[in-house]
Amino acid sequence: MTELLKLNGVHHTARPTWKLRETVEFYRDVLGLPLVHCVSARGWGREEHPDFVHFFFDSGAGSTIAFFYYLGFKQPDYLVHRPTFDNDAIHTAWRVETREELLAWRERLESRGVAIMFQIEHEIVESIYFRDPNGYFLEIGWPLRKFEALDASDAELTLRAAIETEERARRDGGELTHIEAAWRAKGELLADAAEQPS
Amino acid sequence: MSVTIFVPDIPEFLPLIRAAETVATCTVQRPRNGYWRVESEREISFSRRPLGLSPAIWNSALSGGFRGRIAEYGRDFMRIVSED
Repeated sequence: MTELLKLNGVHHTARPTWKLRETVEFYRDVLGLPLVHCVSARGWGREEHPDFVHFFFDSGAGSTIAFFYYLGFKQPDYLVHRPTFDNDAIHTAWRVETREELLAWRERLESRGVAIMFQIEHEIVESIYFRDPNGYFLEIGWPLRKFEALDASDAELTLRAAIETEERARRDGGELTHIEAAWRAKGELLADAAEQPS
Repeated sequence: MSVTIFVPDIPEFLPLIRAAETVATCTVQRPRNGYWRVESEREISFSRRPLGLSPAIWNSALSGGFRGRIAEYGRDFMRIVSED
């Protein structure tokens, strides 16, 4: 039964757009992602649900990236994407397999007038970052290495330390505001583990 | 008290270990449960540029956890000191 509960990658992610032509031209022509499907529909009868166009671009390995364009529906202020870290936390990161491929994407995008904002080597991925016509943050990266078992156990420990430190801070009427407190809590967890016989 | 930095035994953090091994006041213990331990009586400091660490890795350099207190942690230099 557990086999039935295994997710098999991304079918689509979707975001709203208020720039129909620009979005189609960017994803289909600039990025070169095939347009593979489009739903155009009347509103669903729910309160104030406008008619819409919902379209999908092939982003490889069976995945697509999709957009909703709502007809006659003015963009609410709270959905205007602002180029700040909290808005940019919502982003799409596509995978390529090699550095050569990454650089080829960079060259393609720059030759079509897309500004590459950063090229950064993180712990596990080297990435380029850019924006679509909606201002949405996009990333293409290649994996620098595979995940190891230690990555998973270290992640568990980091989050345990962060959650426990945050809960302690809240009991005292505060908040977890600096990662140092979580790192110190993690250090204590590891020191305790090391003192136990292995 | 003393200072201990736990460094995950994964490749991107190894420059920290290689640097700590050259410091006379530090001892480096081989990985146990996946973490190297860098220890010192009073303090441990690192400079980013000689380690060749990118800013992204530098900003996560203590993410394995530590015992002590951050006395300084800027763009290119960090100093961890004993709590007393």
